[in-house]
Amino acid sequence: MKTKLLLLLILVILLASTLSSCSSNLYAATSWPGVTVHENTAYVAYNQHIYSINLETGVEIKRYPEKADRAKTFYAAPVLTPDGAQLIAAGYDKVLYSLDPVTLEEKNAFKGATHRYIASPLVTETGIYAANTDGNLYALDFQFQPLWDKPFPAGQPLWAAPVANAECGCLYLTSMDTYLFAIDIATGGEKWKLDLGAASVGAPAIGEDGTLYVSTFSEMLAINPASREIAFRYKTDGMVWSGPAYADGRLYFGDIKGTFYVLEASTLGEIKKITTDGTIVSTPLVTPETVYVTTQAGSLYTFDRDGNELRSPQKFGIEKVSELYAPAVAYGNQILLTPSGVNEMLLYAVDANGNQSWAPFAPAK
Amino acid sequence: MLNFNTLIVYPLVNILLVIYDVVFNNFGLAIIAFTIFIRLVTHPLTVQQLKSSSAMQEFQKSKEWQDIQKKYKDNREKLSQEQMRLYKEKGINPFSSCLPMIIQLPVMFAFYQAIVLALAATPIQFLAFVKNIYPFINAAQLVPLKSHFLWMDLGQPERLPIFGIGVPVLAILVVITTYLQSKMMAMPTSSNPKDQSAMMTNMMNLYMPFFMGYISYTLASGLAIYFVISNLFTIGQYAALGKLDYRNLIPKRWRPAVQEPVKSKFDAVPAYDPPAIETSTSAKSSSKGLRRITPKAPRKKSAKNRSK
Repeated sequence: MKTKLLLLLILVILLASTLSSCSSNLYAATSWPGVTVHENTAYVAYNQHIYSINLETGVEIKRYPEKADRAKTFYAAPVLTPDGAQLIAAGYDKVLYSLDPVTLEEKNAFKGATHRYIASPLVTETGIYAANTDGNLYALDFQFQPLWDKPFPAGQPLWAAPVANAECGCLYLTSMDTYLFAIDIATGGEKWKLDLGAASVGAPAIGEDGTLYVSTFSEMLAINPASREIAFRYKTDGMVWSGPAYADGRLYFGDIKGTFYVLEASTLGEIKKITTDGTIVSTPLVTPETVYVTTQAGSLYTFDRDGNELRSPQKFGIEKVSELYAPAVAYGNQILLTPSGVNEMLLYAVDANGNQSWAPFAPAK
Repeated sequence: MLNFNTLIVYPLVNILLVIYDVVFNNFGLAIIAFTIFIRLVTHPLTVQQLKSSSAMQEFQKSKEWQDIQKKYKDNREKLSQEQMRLYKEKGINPFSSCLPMIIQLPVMFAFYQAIVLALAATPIQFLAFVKNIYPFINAAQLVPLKSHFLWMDLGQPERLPIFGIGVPVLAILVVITTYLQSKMMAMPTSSNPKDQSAMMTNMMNLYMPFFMGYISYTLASGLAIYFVISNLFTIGQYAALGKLDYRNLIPKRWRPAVQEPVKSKFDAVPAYDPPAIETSTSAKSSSKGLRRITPKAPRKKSAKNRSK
C-alpha cells in the first residue's frame, strides 16, 4: 500500500513538472535566428548560443556560452560597437551582454531590465539603446553605465529596435501599445508621440526627406515628423511584422498572409503586390539590383527592384522543411540565410545564382 | 489539416478574443467570463457525472455490496468478479461517473493551451496566435492582449509585493479553493482503515491542492485565475445541486456520530447470493485449501420490503 501511495505522489510530482514545462520549454526555439556580419565573420544568435562563423569556410570559430546554459537564450542579432571592440548581445534572460568579438568572452553585463530582450539593440556613436519587453528603453554608454537619468518608459512591451535620426537628435521607437515615440537621444525625454491605431513590432524606416515609414498590424503608414501627422496610409492584406525596407523612393515589405508589396514611398501608391508561399516576417534585403524575400515556408524569393520575380523561389534545408523567418543578409556577392525549424542547419551562403558557397553550417553539439 | 488545435484550441482562442472585446479589452475579466462560459457549457456533463457518482455511492451502501466485501475480503480477484457481476445485474456502469470527466479533460487542457497561446510572449508563439485568429475578428485592434489585471501581469507568475516580499496570493487561493472543493465534494469513504480506495482518495485530496498550487506558483497568473474561478464555480455548482457536504470540513473526531448502516435504495432489491464455488490454493494446501461454499436459500425480504 505504501508503494502505491509513493507511486501516486511521484505521479503527481511528474505531472506538475510536465505541465510546468509545457509553457516554458527552454530547449524549444521561441524565435528565429539573428545575424550580423562584420568583415568575414558572421555572428548568429540562436537558442542557447551566439556563434561566430568564418564566412570564407562556413566553419564555427567560437560560441558563447561554451556550454549551453538553460538560463541563457539569444535570438536578437548581436551588434558591434563603432570601434569594433564589443559585440552587444541581448538575451532572453533579461541581460544585455558585452562580448569580445574575437573570443566571444563576456566582458560586461547590464542586468537592469526586468524582462527579456526581443529586439536587437541599437548601437550608435553615442551609446547603446536597448528596447526591452518590460516596456522600457535602456540607454547605456560603452562601459554599460546609464546614459539617461532613467530608462524611457513606453508602457507596453517593446519588440522593435529604435531607429536614430541624427538630424533631429532623436530616436524613433514603436511600441505594442500602438504609439510611435520620438525620444530625445541626449536626455531620454519624450519629444512627441503619435497613436498609430494598431500595435507595431517593426522598426521604422526613414526616407530621404525625413518621412517615417511605419508598419502596424493592419497598415503601412507614412508619417511627417514635422507636423506629427500621418500623411498616407496603405491597408495591407495581413499584419505587417517587420518594418519596411526603403530604397530609392520605394518601400519593400511583406505581411503574415504572405503578400509582398512594392509601394511608391511618396504617396504609398501600390507598384506591385505578389502572393508568396508563406508568411513574411522579415524586412526584405535590398541590393542595388535585387530584392530578396524570405518566407516561413522556407523559400527565398528573388525580385528585381520593380517587384518582378527573377527566378523561381529556392528552398533550403534538409528535406526542405526548414522555415525562413529571419531576413536574408548580404555578404559581398553572397546572401546569408538562417533557417529555423526541424533540421539543424543554421547558416547557408548562396551566390547571386542561388548556388551554395559552402556546406551549410550546422552547430556541433 | 484537422487536429486538436484546429478543432478545439483555436476555436477557444477566438471565443476568448470575442469575450475580450466585449469586456472592454480586459484580459483578466475575459478569463473569468471565459471560465464561467466553459463551465456552463460543460454543466450537463457535470450533472451526469454527479448522478452516476451518486448512484454508485448509493449502491455501495447497499447490504449486498457490503456483504460481498466481507465475504471476499481475502480474495481480491473473486471480489472484483462479484462486484462486476453486481454492477451488471443492477444496470450500473462503474465507469459512467468517469466518462463525463474524461470528456471534459480535453476541453480543460485546450482551455489551458488557449490561454497560454493568447498570452504569447515570444515571436513564434505570437505568430501562431495571430495567424489563427478568425477573419471576422478585428485582430489588428485587439492584439496584443493587454495582460495587466489588478496587480498582475497575466502572462507571468503572480506575486503581490507585501513589505518587499512577493507573496503568491493566487497560488495560495488556488490551494485553499482546491482543498475546500475536494473536501466538500468528497464522497463519504469507508471507515475501514484498510480500504485502499479510501486511502487513495484521501491522499489525492491532500496532494491535489499542493499540486494545483505549485502549477499556479510557476505558470502564468492567467491560469491561476482560471483555477480559482473554476474551483469557486464548481463549489457553487455542487451547492446548487445540493451535493456539498460541509461536514467534511470538520475533523472526523469532532463530527457528530452517524448512525450505521445507512439504508440504500438498492437494499430493496433481493440480495444476491453467489453460487457455490471451489477455490483451490496451492498443491500443498491439500484438503485444507479446498473450500466449499454452499449457496444459501434466498434471503427473506424485510417486512418493509414485503409491504411494498
